[in-house]
Parts: sequence; C-alpha cells; structure tokens
Amino acid sequence: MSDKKHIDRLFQEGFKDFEAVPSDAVWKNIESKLNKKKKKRRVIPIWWRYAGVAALLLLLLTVGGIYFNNSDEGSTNQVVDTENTSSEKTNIKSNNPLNDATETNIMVSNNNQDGLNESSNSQSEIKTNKISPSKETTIAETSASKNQNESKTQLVSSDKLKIKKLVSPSNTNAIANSSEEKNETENIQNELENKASVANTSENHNNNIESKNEVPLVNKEKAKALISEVSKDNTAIANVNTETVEETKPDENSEENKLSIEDALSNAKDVIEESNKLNNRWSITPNAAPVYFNTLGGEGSSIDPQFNNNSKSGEVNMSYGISASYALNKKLSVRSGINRVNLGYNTNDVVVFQSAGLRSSSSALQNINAISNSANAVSLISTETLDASSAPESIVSSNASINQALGYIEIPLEIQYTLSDKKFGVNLIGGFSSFFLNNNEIFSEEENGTRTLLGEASNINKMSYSANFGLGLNYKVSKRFDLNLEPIFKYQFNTFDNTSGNFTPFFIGVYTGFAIKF
Amino acid sequence: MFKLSLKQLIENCKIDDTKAQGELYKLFSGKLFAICLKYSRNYAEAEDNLQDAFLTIFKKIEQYKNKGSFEGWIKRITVNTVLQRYRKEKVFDIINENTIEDVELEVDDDTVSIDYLLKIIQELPDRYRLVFNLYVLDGYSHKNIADMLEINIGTSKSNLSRARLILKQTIEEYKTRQRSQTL
Repeated sequence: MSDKKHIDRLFQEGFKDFEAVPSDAVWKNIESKLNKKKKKRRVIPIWWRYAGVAALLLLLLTVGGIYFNNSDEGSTNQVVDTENTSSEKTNIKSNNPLNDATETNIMVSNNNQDGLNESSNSQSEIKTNKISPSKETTIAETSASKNQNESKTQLVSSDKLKIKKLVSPSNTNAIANSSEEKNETENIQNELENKASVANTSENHNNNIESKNEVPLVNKEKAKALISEVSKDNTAIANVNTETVEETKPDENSEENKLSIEDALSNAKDVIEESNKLNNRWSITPNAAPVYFNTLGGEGSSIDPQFNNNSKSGEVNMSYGISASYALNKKLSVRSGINRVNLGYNTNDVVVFQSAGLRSSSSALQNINAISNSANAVSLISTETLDASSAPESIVSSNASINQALGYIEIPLEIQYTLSDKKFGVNLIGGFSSFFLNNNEIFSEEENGTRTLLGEASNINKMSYSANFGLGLNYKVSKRFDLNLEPIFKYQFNTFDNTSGNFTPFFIGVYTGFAIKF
Repeated sequence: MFKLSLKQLIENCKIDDTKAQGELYKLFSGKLFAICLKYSRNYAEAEDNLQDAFLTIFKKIEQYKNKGSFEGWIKRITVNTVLQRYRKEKVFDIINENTIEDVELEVDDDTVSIDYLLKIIQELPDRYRLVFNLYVLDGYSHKNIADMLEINIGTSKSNLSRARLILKQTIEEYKTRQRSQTL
C-alpha cells in the first residue's frame, strides 16, 4: 500500500506538462477553412474600413455643401429683405386702389396721385396695426416714398426681378389681414383677393390661392365665386381685375400694374431658370471599381530579371473612393477626390522550395527585402531557368507563383468634357493621379492556395503618378442624382525604380458610382 | 533552418501568412489539445474544439498586442471556446445543487496512467468536468468560474465537491478491480 494522496494533487501531477498530438486532419481542416476565409476576410474588412472613410468624407462634403448653400441663401436673404420692403410696397400699392375704391364711395372721381397718396397713407396707418412691427418701418418708408409721387409702375418695374418673392407667406397674410379688416366693402375684398391671386399665380402656386383665400372668404360668398373664376387663368385675373378696378376707379395705374406684374412674372421665370442652371455646379460621387492591373510590356519583371519571360497574370482588385466635381461651364468640369486602390499581379511558373542552408544567392531576389528571420526561408526560381530533365521531380512539379500586392491612396485630378448631355450622358475624361503607397507585400502562392509572405518590394516608389484616360457614361435619374459608369485606363509612371526588361504597369478600372449634384 | 521569433511569427499570422499560421499551430497544438481533451467529452469533440479554438485565435490574433503571455492568451481562448460550446448546448442547468461536506478525498498514491485520468475526467457530467478542470487543473477561482459558466459561486463549489467525489470513487473502484485481477 502506498501513501494516501489528495485527489486534486493526483490530477495536478498527472496533467502537469500534459500534451497531446491531435491528428493531422485537424490542421488540414483549419487550413482549408483559413484559405476559404482568406478571400472574404481580405476584402470585407478593407471594404468596411474604407467605406467608413468614404462615408466620413461624404458627410464632410455634405456639411460643406450645406454650408455653401447657406451662404447662397445668405445672399438671397439680403435680396429677400429688400424684396420684403418691395412686397410691402406692392401690398400698399395693391391696396391703394382698394382704398381708392372706398374713397370713391365718398369722393367719387378722385383718381389722381394726391388721392392715391392720401389713401396709401391711411392704408399704411391701418396696416401698421395689423402687420408685425418689423414691417412697420418699411411700410412707413414706402408710403413716404409714395408721397414723393413715385408712380406705381416704376415701383413695380423696379421690383420686377424680385417678383417671385412677392408672395411670401407674410405677404399674403398681410393681405389677409387687411382684407379681414375691410370686410365692409365687398369690392375691395374682391380686388384684394384678385391681387393676391395674381401674385400667387405669378409663382404658379394655384393651389395656394384657394387655401389662402378661404380664410377671409368665409363670409364672402360673392368674392369667393369671383376669385375661383379669377384664379382659372392669368388673363382672367387681369380682365376681372381691370373690370372691377375700372368699375370703381378707372385708373391707368392699375392696368399698368397688371402688365408689370406679368412682365415681372416672365422675368422671374427667366431668373429662376438661370439660377437653376447655375445651381448644380457641384457634385459628389462615391465610387467603387474593379481594377485590373497588368503590364504592357510582355517581357519584364518588377521582381527579378530571371522572371522576365515568365507569364504574368493581372489580378482584379477593388478600388473605393469618393470624388467631387465642379462644373466650370456646361461642357467642362474639373474633379478630384480620394481613392483607395489595391493592385496586384502574379508571376507564374515559379518553383518554391525550402532552402535549408541553401546558398543565399538564389533566395535573394533582386528587388525583394526579405522579412527578417525568415524561418520559411523559401527560395524561388523561375522554371524557365531550370533544366526540367535534370531537376528533381518534386521541385518541378510544384508550380507556384509570386504574388505582388500593392496598395495605394490615389488622388486624381481630372477634367471631364461633356459630349452629350441628354438623359444618357457621355463624357471624355482625362487627367492624372498621384499615388501614395500604403501597402507593399510579396507572397509566394502555391497551387494549394498556401500563401507565404516573402517580404516587401524594395523598388517601389512611395509616390508615383499615372496618366488617366477614360469614357464616362451617366444616366440621369433625377435633376440631382446621376448613375455613373466610367471605364478608365491609368498608365503608371514612376511606380518602380528598378525593373528589368520591359515592365510598364497600368491598370484599368471600371468606376461605378452615383453622383449627387447640388 | 532557424526558428522565427514568436513575435515575428505572430506578426506574420496577422497578415494571414499561411506558413506562419502552420508554424504557430505546430508550436502550440500540443498544449492546446491537452486542454481540449481535459475539457471535452471525448477525443472527437476535443479535436473539434481545437479546430474552433485555432480558427478563433487566427481571427483574433490581430487584437493581440504583445501584452501578457501569448501562451496564456491562446489558452484562455481555447478554454473559452470549449465553454462556449457547452454553454450553447445548455448543459448547465440540470444538476442537483446539494453540497457534500467532509468527505475523505484521499486516494492511494499509486501511479494511475494519464490516459485513465483523462478518461474518467471526460466521463464526468459536463459541468462537473468543467468546474473541476477550471478550479483544480487551471487554477481559476470559484468567482471566475461562476462568471465564466454563468452560475453562482455556491453552485461552482458544490459541483467541484461532486466532481471530486465521483473521481475518487471511480479511481477506488478501478483499483479494487485491478487488485482483484492481479491477485
């Protein structure tokens, strides 16, 4: 019998330094799963990372866009201020004949300017009670200016360009206010509403008329009928207006008013159209592209002269980015942006073998900085240089390739010339890009998918350039939104320092994206 | 051929270098498989767990920032992988929680083969096995175990006592059987 021992100690001692060798199948499984995942894992996280950057840029540019828009609005706000005063003027002005009308009840044929002035004064007095205080001063001013016998037509014509702003809500409110105030005289009411509808139609907001008119019209069946008739078309308005005005007060000025309002209307349309054309100068385009990298020269290598004659196969990778473009005029626009681009190609027919204690010359390829302490210590030789008959079977059979992977941040600067500007647009694109290296790896890749990091290329410039030519196709989904498809060829300069043979790299990307114009 | 430093190996694993991943596997699979064997019900499950553990390690290796021992880190991942499997299978809520006190836990100090020890550990009910492993063989506290298994500390303690008792009885039976065979 031996000593007693606590059960914990028994197990602790038993399992101390316990190791067990799993079956080979476990690693095979792991390896196959890793290889399967590799493609996915190499693409997806990068995509998300750069999508994040793109989203951030988009956000920044949007904020920028809003800022720009705001500054635009800032300038138009100033215009609006003056327009407000002018709209007050027209208010008063439009009310003038009304007042005249009231006065025509008293002073039947008093159409002259003096009468107008008086009426405008009284009108402005009434209105100041109703209109918000901020407007009082402008009303006072305008009535003062009217006292200087300024003619209405002049006022209106000078305000022509601003007519589109005349029907600001405050304006119609003012009209509504004053109309409510003057419920006594139906004619006045009618005229007021007519004016309002004229003003409204001048902005083509016919549906507004009814809703706005309804408030004061609740009491005024007649006026309602008139207005609905009137709002059918502009000429009708003009006619009815003329009639009603002429009935109460045949005043030339009122006719001129209408003419000038119509002028102003057409002018305003022009202005609106023009400003629309100028508006969408900027556009932002997030884009993604499959890019195919290869070399133009058939014989050459960026890695080592011994691979000059090996076949090279380009890799299709992805490029992601965002660009902003500014239209100089209808035909030309300039654009720039930032892209993340991955490039890669394979040098085929390479033999990889373990080089335990092998002479270093064969393992050291001309343009590769091998990773330090390479335990893998593989050597690569082009099959071209091997004598197939004398080489051992095991070596020649392993048909591996060298994979060179490059990653860049690309900053393009391009000019886009519009050939066709229809629903389907066609553009020519030319320019250049600067590339900043941010990934540089060389792998050996065996047939079974095993990748081994060899090191990094020593001959890649941190910064390089390309000349870009391409064709842009776009489809206008809406005024502000285009879909783009742009196959672009990029001929690279200065990418490698020390290539052997004729190695001229290029890549082709088919950039797809959507443009948001503002 | 000389070995890569572990640090370099880890760096290479971070960029999905298959060779480096293979090296890392060779280096640690023995130790990690031992853990899997102890914590699993049988050999096949242990292999499954080892595979899952390594896949997790390669996936998360980017997060390893050379702080603390790498071996400790991958062992924790392995233990967690196993626990996760049994947590998923909801095996933690079926056991009588009565505590057993003052039981003689001494056994004869004959050499019992590691294979036999492993076998009887694997035959323990899931939670007894996990608690016994965590507490006795890997030095986790009851507090840690309670957190990891989402049970309370009392349960962890009672599970441990039961595990010990079962193991002791099994070993004693085994020895009497052996003795009767040899006699």
